[in-house]
Amino acid sequence: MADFTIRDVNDHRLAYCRSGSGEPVLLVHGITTNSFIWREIIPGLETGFDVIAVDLLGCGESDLSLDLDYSITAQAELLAAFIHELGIAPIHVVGHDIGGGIAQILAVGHPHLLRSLTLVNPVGYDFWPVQPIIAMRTPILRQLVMSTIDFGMLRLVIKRALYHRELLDDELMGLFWGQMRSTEHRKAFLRLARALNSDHLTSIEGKLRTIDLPTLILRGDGDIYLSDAICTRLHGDIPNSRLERIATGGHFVQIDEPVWVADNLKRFFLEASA
Amino acid sequence: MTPRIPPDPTAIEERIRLLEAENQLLNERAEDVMLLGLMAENLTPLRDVEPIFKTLLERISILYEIPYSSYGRIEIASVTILHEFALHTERIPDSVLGLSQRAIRSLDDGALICSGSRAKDSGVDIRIVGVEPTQVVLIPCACRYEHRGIFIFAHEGADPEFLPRKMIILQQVIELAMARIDNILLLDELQRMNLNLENRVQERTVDLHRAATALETEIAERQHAENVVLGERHRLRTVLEHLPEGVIVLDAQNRVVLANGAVLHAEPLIDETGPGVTLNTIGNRPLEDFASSSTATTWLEVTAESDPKLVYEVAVRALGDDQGSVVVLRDVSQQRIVAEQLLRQERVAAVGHLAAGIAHDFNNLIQAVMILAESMLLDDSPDPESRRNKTREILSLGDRAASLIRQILDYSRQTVTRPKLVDLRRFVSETIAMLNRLIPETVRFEFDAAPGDHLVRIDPVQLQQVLTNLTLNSSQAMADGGTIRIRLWNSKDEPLEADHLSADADADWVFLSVSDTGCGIPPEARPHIFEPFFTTKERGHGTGLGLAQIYGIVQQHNGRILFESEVGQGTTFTLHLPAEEGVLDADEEGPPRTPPQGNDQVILVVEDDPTVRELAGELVKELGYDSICASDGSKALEIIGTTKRPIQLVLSDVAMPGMGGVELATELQRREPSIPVVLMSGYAPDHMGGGFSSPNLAAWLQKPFTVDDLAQTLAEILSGSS
Repeated sequence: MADFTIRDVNDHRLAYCRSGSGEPVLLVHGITTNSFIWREIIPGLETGFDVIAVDLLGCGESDLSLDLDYSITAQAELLAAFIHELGIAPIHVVGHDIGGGIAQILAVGHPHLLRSLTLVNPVGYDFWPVQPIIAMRTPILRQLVMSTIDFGMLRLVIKRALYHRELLDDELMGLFWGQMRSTEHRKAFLRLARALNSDHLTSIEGKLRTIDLPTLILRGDGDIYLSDAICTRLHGDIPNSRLERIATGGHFVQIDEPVWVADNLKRFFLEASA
Repeated sequence: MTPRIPPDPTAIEERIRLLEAENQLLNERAEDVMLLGLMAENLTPLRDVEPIFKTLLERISILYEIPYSSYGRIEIASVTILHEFALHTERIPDSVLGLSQRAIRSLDDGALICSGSRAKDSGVDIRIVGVEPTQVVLIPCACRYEHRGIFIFAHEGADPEFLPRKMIILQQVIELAMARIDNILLLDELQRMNLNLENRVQERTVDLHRAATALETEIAERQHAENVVLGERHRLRTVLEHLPEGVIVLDAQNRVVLANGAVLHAEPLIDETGPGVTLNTIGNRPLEDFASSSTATTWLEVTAESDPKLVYEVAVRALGDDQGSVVVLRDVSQQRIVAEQLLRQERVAAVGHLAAGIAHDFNNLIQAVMILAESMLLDDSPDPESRRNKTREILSLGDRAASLIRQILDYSRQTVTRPKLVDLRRFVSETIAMLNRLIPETVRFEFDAAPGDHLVRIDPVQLQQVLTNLTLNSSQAMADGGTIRIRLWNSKDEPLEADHLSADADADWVFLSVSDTGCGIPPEARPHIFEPFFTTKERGHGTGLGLAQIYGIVQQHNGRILFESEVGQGTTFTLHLPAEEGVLDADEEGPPRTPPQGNDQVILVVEDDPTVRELAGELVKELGYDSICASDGSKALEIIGTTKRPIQLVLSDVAMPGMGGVELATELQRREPSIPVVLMSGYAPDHMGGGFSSPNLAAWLQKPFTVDDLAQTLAEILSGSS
């Protein structure tokens, strides 16, 4: 991945990696990760696209201030300003996990900034983050909290999010644990987790049908954290949407099946631009 | 078949509710266990106290959603916060925690839980900016790090039982942390002690090493010093063995400690010099005889009774502090032989020199006498005055010859002296008055006599000669005039510097100095000025006998003469004459008398020289005696034995061929002891006769003598005998 660039947007510090050339593509990560989650996708895209992988507020190299609004709506508004700042609209937006939720809000609120919309194992509606009792009969949010202080718990959480669990080596685990590497990172992570509120998505449920953008929904069927129902329902609600599935992909399908993801994205972007 | 009873939905719901409640408890329990495990895992690798508090507060806050937690020290009425954690803010909020004495006493019994709103009721005043606690728990703790520690957890949740439920796990986690802190501190202490121990071991090792090095150095230095001492001892021993002098070191009891090889050559003096042998005598003289003072070494001469004769100089010096003494013996036999040879050679040379001088002067006189005598033989003039003049000149030449002889005899100390007690003050004053007529007017005298008597026993005639010679020398040294200063003083009033007195320093002396402001004596001449016939004056201006005469006279009176001179500045001669005490002899000076006349008594004149014999015979007759002459002692005895005329006195020369005067006197004492004998000689009696004395020896006449001398001597003897 390229080196990080830091940009002040609305007095907030946003960090991003940018590489390649072509139509701009904005990659938005989810919770427990940051822009590194796209590290195996970017090489497949940067040959034809100007790929920008951003760290959300409270994550990675971006602002960790606890005084900020970490809600997905606020994050979406900050990214809209970011796209303006960079002057890259219209743009292909790809969102994973809560990044999918942010992408939905962007598509509904700022459709003119987008050339296309891609949702990879996204949150949606009120199905999130209410995955009921799974591991240790503890809610996922509780697991996330415990993950900040317990490497073992984080490892368990990550491992369960992969289809190919053998891929979780020390190097990859180190990238995830980097999210918790300091008190500031841990506090910011907890604040981000605490800011997750399904109200922000349920409030746009009705507007999903107004999205007039080429939309691709990628679903790893091995994702045990987010329900398949979310993707199915989004595919039903968003016009011109296409749902692609892969059985060997977990929640982090970018790690399980990066080629499949990258190929689908390129193909979709080309179609969308046609 | 038992009919199946449809489940009661209410019961099922109740059961589910119970199960969920139980599940909740189990979850919490699982989290508690996880926290304990987590803390144990996280604290183990920590090595410092600071991160332990930080980790503890953060983990508890995050896990139990506690917005504010802190650790502090209990003071008199408050808590000093040392570590804090705030979950929802970046900055640590300002916090105040006041404790009443009641609350503090309560904490002595254990943890204190109070609701946020009623905290003050419990004596706890807690204010945290941005936090509205519903519950506050205070957990006291103690460890080596802090004996009055306290943890504070502020909870915002609505569940009033939340913190009471977590008390046990919180205390367990805190105990875990405190144990870890104790372990760390103990480890630190242990490490510090180990380090101290290592340092001490290292220091001791360094000290030991240093001490060992110092010891080695000291051993090497001592070895070196010992080698040096041994080397020095060997060198000293070698030097000692190579010394030509014999050296014997004695202990305080005069036992031989060591003796060198040269001592063996002194065997005639010392029989045995083996270590331990007591040395009491050296050459039959007791050791005490050789003892020197601490500052001066006295060398005593010891002659060994051996053949050839061996002469040693021996000195014994004490080593001080009863450390014994060292004896040094040096064989000076060869030196004595050489010295005697040298002295003999010098004497021969001096005699030769003296003889040459005498021959020269006498030749001149004789030459003149012979010319005058021949002139008289050839003189046909009937004028008797002419012959008388020549005769007077011959007599004058005879006086000069007699004067010359007197000077030589003075030098050789052969003059018959007539010493008498003289007060030099008066004598010098009178002599100066006489000398004033002899010296040029440009030269003047200064006489400075110290108060008191200055008595010496001296022949006044000779002393006058001394002063005359010195004064004339001084006046000649001051051709352009000047001052002759004569000083007179006693040694007891003003001693001379020690180097002017080589011995007899304690004796009393009268000093008489004659100083001039003349040309001085050249350095090269100074060693010879007292030698006879040595002169720096022009030919014809001096005989070279003046100072030699003075030297002889002074020596004859047991005195000394020293001089100091500087060219161009002048010369000072100082006579040292032994001081005397007593009453002055009566002044015998009187009006000139005619020589006493004899009464035809027969005097036998014995003289080998015919001229002198004849003259003496004539002279005796002129003095009123009758005279018979004999040419030697044998002839004289014959005449005495044969003549019928009574010989009343024998006047004999001493040195004659055949029987001399002394033998004659001796023989006459045997044959005719009543006849007094008067011996005449150019030599002093102690020299010529070796201290000869005989009852018939009436007087000793020193040649040349005056007519008056002879007349007085004869008259005294014969008047006494008659």
